[in-house]
Amino acid sequence: MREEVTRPPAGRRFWIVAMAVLILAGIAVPYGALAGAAPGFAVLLFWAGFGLAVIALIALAVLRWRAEP
Amino acid sequence: MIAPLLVWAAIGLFTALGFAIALRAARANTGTAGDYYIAGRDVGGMVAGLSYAATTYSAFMLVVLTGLTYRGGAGALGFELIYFAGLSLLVIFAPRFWLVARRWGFISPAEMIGARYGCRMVARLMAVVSLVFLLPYCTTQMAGIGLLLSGVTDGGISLFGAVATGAALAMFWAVLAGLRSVAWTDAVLSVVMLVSGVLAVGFAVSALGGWSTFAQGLATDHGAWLGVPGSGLWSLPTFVALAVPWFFFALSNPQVSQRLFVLRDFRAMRRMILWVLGFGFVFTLIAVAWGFAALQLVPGLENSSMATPALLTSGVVPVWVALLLILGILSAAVSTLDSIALAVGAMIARDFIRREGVSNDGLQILAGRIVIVGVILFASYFALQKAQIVDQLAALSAAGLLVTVPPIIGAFFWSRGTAAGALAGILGGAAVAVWMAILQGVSVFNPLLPFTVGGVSTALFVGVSLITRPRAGALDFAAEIAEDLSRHRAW
Repeated sequence: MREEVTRPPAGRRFWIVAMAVLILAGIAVPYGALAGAAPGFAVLLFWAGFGLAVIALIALAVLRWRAEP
Repeated sequence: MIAPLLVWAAIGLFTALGFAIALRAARANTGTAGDYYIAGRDVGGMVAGLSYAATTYSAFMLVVLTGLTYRGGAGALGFELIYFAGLSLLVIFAPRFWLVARRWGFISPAEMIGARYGCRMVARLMAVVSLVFLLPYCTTQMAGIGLLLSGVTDGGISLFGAVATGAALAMFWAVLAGLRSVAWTDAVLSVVMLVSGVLAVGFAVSALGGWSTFAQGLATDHGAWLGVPGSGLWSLPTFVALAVPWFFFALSNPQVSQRLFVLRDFRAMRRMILWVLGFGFVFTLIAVAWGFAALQLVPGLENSSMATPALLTSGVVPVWVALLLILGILSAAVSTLDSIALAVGAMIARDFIRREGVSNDGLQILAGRIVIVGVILFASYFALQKAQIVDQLAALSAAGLLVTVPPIIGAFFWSRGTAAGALAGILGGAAVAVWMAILQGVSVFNPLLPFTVGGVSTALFVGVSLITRPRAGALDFAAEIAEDLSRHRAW
């Protein structure tokens, strides 16, 4: 078997980094910046926004697919 | 409580509808293994998406996740959304799974990975590991059905009656026409799940005086539940321990990854992913809102898993909505159960019964049907026995199935991966998972468990691959599908 030598597309690298940052933020923000704040809806709203951002990033990636090559 | 007769009547109507769909699906089958296990690779995006959603969102959502919200608060939403973010893996892996399955005719994910490494033993080991960790997970679905039906009828429907009902439905829908009947019934069941959930939350919030009163009540009486660690349950280590293995669910669980083989074309794949995203996000919000409503309407429960039955029988939700939600939860459990049974059946049929160059589709289907019946009977029996070992393995399922992830990623992105490496990673990782969780008693709430299991299986896969050579018959997925990926503009 031969080694894979082609570099991943730049779009894929950017998208993976963006998704990784988003997921890390999905843990770090509630447990960091929002931890210990006065009782309120900040954490729930943040996670709702996080879910929408996940949908947007995934949609961005799959909408570029060409169905009929 | 709800009268058992009413519950039975609702289940009867639901069963009749499901049977009609399954029978219609059976007429479309042509009798080949590919048709039985993956519906002839001709499922459209909406049905595939709803089926994927119904399979992945099990009774866990409105029983366990609702209970975790009740017990611990907002962390339940974050945990489930980290799992939801794991659907991003589909962007990279769905096109690859689909392309290689089309090119080489793969029907089970284990078969695909075995062929990639040129070793049927890899496929068989992956099938066995999936069986070991998924069977107990099936048992928890059965237990969920039992908890719900006996809970809302105050024992009027016995655990045996509830489990037997779930078993009969799952068995019939999976055995009759395989994936086609499972996918079609799943699609209808997913609509029941979503509609019933929306209605139930709507009535519960209305009983509290509307959304503003609902929110105000939460902030005033349960302020701690709105943040993390909430009431104390959602410490960072617990959150990470639960979220990490679930993040890889889309790859590690064959009942969902096999759905990537059934799609008609790339357009269907895109639509499937968008449907799953939409369904998953809304259903997650429903489960969490339902848990917060239960916290206010039926406070003080000792067992948080009883939050849903308690709220359904509290009188704040009309009986017809309660019945619909019961059907929704029953749907979630049955759709997960029959999909797992079918996926395990496919793995046994393809990786143990299929013979190269011999056409034995009838035998493969028969073997799969026997396995489906066996899996469901196993799950039913142990749900009734309430065996501790099964509970432990079920809790371990997400972390245990992590061991299949390194060879799956390696199959597409690391041509140096070898069969020996894959075998070592899967076997070693699974042994460590069982040793830690069962013998050493390390809790699934301890992040040491998933990180050790994932770390050991990855290290063994990489290390053993580096000191061994790829087999002569191994396939080079990356090179073979590079052009197709490029033509479809997939990453």
